[in-house]
Amino acid sequence: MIELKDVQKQFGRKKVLNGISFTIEKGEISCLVGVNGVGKTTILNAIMNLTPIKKGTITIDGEPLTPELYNKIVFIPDASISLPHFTVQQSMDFMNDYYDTWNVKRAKDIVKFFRLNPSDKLRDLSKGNQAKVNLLLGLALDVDYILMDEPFSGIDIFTREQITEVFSSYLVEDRGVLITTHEINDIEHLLDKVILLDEGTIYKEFNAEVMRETEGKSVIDVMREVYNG
Amino acid sequence: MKKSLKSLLNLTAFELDRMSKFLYILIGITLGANLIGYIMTPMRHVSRLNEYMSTQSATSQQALDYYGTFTFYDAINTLWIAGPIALGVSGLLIYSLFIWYREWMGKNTFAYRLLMLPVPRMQLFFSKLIVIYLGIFSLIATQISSLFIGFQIVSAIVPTEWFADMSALQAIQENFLFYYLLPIDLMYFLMINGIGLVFIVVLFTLILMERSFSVKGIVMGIMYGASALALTLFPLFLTDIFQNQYILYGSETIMIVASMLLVIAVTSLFVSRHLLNKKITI
Amino acid sequence: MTKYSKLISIVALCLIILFGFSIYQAQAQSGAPEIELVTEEGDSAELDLLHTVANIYDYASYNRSTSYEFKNGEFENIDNQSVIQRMDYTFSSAINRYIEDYRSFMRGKTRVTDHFTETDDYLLYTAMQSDVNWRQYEDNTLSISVLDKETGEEQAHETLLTGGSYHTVIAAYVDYPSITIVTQAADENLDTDWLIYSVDLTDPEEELTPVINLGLSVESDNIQFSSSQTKTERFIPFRSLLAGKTDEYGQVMDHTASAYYVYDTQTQAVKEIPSFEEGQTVVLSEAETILVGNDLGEEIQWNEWTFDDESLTELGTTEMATPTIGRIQVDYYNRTFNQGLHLVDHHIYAYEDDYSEDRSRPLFQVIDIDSMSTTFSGYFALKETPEGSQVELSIYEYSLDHLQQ
Repeated sequence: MIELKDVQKQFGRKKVLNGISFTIEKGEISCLVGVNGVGKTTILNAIMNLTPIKKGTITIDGEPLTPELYNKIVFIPDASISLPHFTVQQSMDFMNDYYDTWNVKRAKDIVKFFRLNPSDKLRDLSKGNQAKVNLLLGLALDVDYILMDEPFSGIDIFTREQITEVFSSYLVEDRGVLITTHEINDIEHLLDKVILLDEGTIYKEFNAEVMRETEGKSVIDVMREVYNG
Repeated sequence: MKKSLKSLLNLTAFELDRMSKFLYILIGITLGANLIGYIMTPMRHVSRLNEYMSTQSATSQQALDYYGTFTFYDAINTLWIAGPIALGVSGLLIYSLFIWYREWMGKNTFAYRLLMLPVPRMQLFFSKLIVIYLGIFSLIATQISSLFIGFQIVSAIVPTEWFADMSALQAIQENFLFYYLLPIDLMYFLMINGIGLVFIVVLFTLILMERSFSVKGIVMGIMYGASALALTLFPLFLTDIFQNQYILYGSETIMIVASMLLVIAVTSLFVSRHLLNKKITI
Repeated sequence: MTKYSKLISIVALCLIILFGFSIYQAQAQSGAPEIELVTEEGDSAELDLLHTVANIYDYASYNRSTSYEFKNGEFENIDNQSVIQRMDYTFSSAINRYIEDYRSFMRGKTRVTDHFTETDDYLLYTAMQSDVNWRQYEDNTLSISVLDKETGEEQAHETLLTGGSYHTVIAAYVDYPSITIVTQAADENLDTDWLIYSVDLTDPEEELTPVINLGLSVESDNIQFSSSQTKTERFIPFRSLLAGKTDEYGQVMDHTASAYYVYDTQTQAVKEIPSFEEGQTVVLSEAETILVGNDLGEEIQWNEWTFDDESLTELGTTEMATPTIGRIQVDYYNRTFNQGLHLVDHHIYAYEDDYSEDRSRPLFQVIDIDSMSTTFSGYFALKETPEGSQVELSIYEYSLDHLQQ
């Protein structure tokens, strides 16, 4: 379980996160939603110790994040984070060099699934294919938790459909997934938990399906209520 | 192989691979410029002597009496040799900044990947440090090799009777620049490289301060750098504080300076570790 | 190619070249020139008191240049010292010995041999504050420290010198607990004075006035003192200089010694030594003895001069190794003379740098004044002179370890 307790973060004088607490369970797909600048990416960075927090605690299965735990949790940012002159294969080899949890077979499956060419250089790939490589490098790890930041950002509809397929596949099965996205419609039906952020705090935490069945509202409807009303 | 050592080796090999093109260019410039120096300098001397002989109808000995013999020292005491050294030093200094900042620059923020590797983050620091030093030693080794090849070239160009009996080693040892840069006096070599190492460690710490606290980090960095410099030079001002030029023996002054450098290096390593583990921001 | 191949090859290449260069260097340098003491006459053990640093400078190759310390009749290459030793090394053998034996006492004190006087029981330091605090060159405070060699106790005093400014301590003579300090100073018109102060170490005063102004006393504006290795003698020889011809710019070209004097540290009186009709005068002193020589070049005729009745008693004549050994030409800029001639334990130690066309070397002669015979004559020389070398052999600071006798 990933647990955030009273997490606070400030950029200069501006409070970005103001007492954020929630948990992510294994086998659960959760989504952080909110308008731009509400602190979604900051939460993911904070979980991965990529930005220091001012106050609060973040634990992974009860432990604070240590380098070894990067074998247990992976973060897939919204842009390519591999070297542009690397080929897809070199990027995979690089991961294989450092991660005990790199799964070669699964990596091959994903390459096939996304129809990627291992000898292509990353800098020559389209934005959509770069996003696929990013997913490949994250999903091929046998980790317990996956964090994804805007996986559908700036990519065409066909690629988006292909990526959406990932969420219902064995690739995320039994793992705890935390995702941030503006394209909530595409994956709304797959979500177990929605965490709605507003002004650095959690405005509402709910189950999307229950919300739809009991109140007849989609996640977008709830967001409209909060940000327009 | 121990896992952490393997990952450090992996990272070092990876960083070296990234630096190799830049290093090959520096090595190429060094060898190229040196070669020009080894050919042009003795040829100019020889042609001067020949010209003197033909215009003055002088004998070879008279020309020699007028211009003097040519030594390998004359060939290496030129800008063709000193220039690439200055370029190498400044190039590696700039690369010491670039080696960190490139991870944040460009379209792909590679710092994400590096900081999320399941290895202690100080390994990133050490791999970059080792690679800078490998660059320094590679250039030193290139220079040494070049000098011995250069001696053969110069000996071939200058007629024996005009070439002074001075070995390559003698010429190298008498050159001021090489005395400090090459392992001629082991103590000087260790001292200069030790000071250089501490300098780079401090520079890396300053970069990490800036990467952690941005503008505030620059101010902190300037203060930290100034304090490190003051601490290093402090023993040299003890004579003024005690108003006595002989209050410390030479060996004591050096040992205090060395201790200060050690303190600065260790402190910088701890500060860097703290910054990398707790403060660094993507 | 494995991912490590680039790393391995660069590291290997660096190691091979750097180590190769170091090994090649070590092999090429195995032939450092060696030095020896060549005896021409007498026994080389007579020179055991000599403690100095001999420098070999090869104009043809700086790398063949090196230095040897000569101590107890043996040479030791100073390049063999450890790095730490080298850092504290000075080119004065006496100072090195003091640092080695009395490191704590030597802390904060100058490295000028003239500022130290050593007896069997004490090591005395007399120097101006401005000698250690270079920012305060106007300071007229004299520091006196006495180390009791047996107990290791240090007694330190500070006293203000009046009667002049910008003092330079030329020497301090000890007859414990009384010391006589000779300084060169400037008067109110910034003309040079030579002043003598007397201090009783059992009750040192806070302010000292000169006992005598030697320049005024002998009516000379140019004085030099006899260089002393012992500084325990009762009588201090000094001489007045006479300016010779001036060049076209009005600068004095040469000086000659006009008269020799002796200052008695006990009676504080000055007496002039009568000059010889033929030949130059040489004056040396030790304890209560004043030795006056008539320098005839190839030989010196020695006499003992009695201060009280000013009588001259002839001792004998000695042949000198060279017509100039020990008799260094008058150098106006020196505060002392007799740098090459000393009287220690009834022996005259003479030294000179012998320059010839292609080499230079230090020559030494030791004369026993009781027997009026040369007990040693010889020189420093290279064991082997490499082909094509132009070697200059010289010594840095001539010193005699007079307590070793």
